[in-house]
Amino acid sequence: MLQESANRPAEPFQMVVVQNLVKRFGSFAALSDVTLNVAKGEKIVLCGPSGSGKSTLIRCINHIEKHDGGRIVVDGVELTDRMADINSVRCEVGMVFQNFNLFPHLSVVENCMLAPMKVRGLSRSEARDRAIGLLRKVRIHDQANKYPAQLSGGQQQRVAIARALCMQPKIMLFDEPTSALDPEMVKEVLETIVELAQEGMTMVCVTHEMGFAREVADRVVFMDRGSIVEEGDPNTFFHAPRTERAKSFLNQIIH
Amino acid sequence: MFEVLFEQTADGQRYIDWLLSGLGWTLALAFFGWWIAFGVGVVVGIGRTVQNRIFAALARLYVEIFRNIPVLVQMFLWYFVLPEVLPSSFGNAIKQIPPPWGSFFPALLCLGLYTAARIAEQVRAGIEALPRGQTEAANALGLGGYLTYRHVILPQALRVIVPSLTSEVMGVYKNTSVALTIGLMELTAQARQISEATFQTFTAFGAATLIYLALALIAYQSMMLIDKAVHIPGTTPVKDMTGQELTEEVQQAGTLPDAVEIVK
Amino acid sequence: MNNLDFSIILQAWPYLWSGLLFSLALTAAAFLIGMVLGTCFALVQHFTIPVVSQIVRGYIALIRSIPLILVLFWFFFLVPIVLGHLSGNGRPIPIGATYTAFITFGLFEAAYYSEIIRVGLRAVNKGQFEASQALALSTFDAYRNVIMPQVIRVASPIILSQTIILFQDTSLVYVLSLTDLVGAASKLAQLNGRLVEMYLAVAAVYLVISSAASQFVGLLRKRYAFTGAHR
Repeated sequence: MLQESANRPAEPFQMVVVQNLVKRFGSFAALSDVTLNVAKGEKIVLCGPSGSGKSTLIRCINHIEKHDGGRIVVDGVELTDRMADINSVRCEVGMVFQNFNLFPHLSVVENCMLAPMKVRGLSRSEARDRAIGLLRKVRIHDQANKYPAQLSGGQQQRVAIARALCMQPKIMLFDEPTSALDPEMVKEVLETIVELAQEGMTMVCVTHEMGFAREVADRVVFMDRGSIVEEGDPNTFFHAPRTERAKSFLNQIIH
Repeated sequence: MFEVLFEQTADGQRYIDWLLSGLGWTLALAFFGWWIAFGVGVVVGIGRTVQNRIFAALARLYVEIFRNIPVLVQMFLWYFVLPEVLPSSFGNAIKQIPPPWGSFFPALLCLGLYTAARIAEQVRAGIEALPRGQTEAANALGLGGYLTYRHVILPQALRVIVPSLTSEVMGVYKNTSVALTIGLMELTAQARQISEATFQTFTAFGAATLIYLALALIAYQSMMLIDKAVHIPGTTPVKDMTGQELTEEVQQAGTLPDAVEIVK
Repeated sequence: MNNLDFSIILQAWPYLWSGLLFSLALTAAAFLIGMVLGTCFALVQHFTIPVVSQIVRGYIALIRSIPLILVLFWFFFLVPIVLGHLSGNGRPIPIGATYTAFITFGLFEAAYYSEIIRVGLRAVNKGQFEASQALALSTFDAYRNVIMPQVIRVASPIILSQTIILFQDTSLVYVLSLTDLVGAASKLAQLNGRLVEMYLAVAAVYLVISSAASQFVGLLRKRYAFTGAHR
């Protein structure tokens, strides 16, 4: 027994612990008894038909949606109603929205500087340096002084990624990041996310892009009607799904 | 036609001096009234949108009271009723204030708080018009309530309502005329005075009308300049301001709260 | 704090009531005259009838730029003169303060109603008129049976809101010494010395009526939620 535990590798730290999560909208149960753990450095892809609760789940992780039952612990902090807890969690969790949600009245670089300055207390020049650095990383620093309305959808989404990264989060959440983009811009955004994944960022990504999922995911989690139906590594999931619902979902997507 | 204005009055001035004095009071009342209205209005407007039930209810109460009582009645309440319902030491002190200040300050408070209620509704409409995603994105970045309002919500909401605030600006200087009922010798009061003294009704009221028109033009142009100045690059410019607000009103007749109303 | 005696309001109520009736009558008269005239003004501008539409636009811009009190003074001065000219003998006809007030408020409101209706006209889909033409309806019939009913439906919440504002604005006939609700309270206050109670009562009456009417308009909006983007 002792020898076995000596050879077993150390338990990876669980960035996100979701236990028996329940979320209701009125009488509609968007999430029923969902349990999911995300280890540090792990990349999870959430997929499933519309209404399966995948967006709701990740929006609960940074308390954009308030859960009604169960527990969520992020980076060791339990999400309660206390603003102090919620804000400290949100500093460590970056989120990229389907509709980008850039601040239209601020320039690209100002969008990225706002939160580091006001929440992390960086000085203006420190924030600017960090912003330019991250904009350079997503290859959009030449548009730094433009305004969101002057950029294409793909460019805006890359700015949104940079903006989230400026807070130096420990985990990134992506809520269908390419669903609102024209097809020719999907590639540039996915490439940016893939690079991020390769650098070791912990991430949970809700997406329909199965090619991307195959490339990036450590684990694919399939949800349907508010619960997790199947999860596993990408190869198993895409080639040999176990459950009927997963099979029919994949048939629809892949064709 | 306007020669009579340059004649001598009984007290040694010229009638045009009366008119200018009236204009001075009108401008003072409008200017300071606007800033009170804007300050209080933005706060109450925000109050209408916050989560806290108590603040929201208080803000709602404020707006209901100050919007549903006519300006004239509010003037009377400030001028006649307030000194009576305050403790007698305060009340008497207020009654001691000599005219014209005794009329000016009640009028200022009245105008400021009345207009604030109207501005509050416009601010509320502006805030509610913003997509929810803005608040969500700000929250996701760790920006709390105050920071979100200050840096994300308000800058956008205030820009959006600049065209509709134009009617409030015009409303402020038009409503200054109601102060004549409590004895303030503003522009309209002076025009009436001149008309009674010289029997040149056309001239007297005509002069006042021209001055009000000039004020309207200045207000309108200033708001257009402000709208241009705060324009967000890359978005479509607003062409015809008052036309736009009415079009939006009517097209959203089913959904927009009764915020954007036409002001007298 | 002086002794407040609110029972005085009960005693005063009959007189206040007559003042309120006057306010309501004035509101109704101004609404009718204003809507009829306003519709004419709107249609004139909508069809861009030369010269007349320019004059109408000038009138509306003027009325909306100057205070209501000044408009009241103007019309009280002008209406008898104009009527005198119209009647042919050139001498001013005094028709009494009440009727002058009705006409004045009607003419004033017309400028505001006209703008609402004009925008309502623009909001109605052009296809409606084209469909009417395709059905060989005359322009008059098209507007009367197809266009205007839709305009009224879309614009009615705003028209009603405007009318509530009109009701509040009628209080300004005070400057002409007419006995509306405020005038009645003011006269009573001079007699019984009870300023506080009288004016608070007036405020309460306006508050209740305007607030209730606004709630009703809110309900109407929800029921007839029409075109327009749902956010």
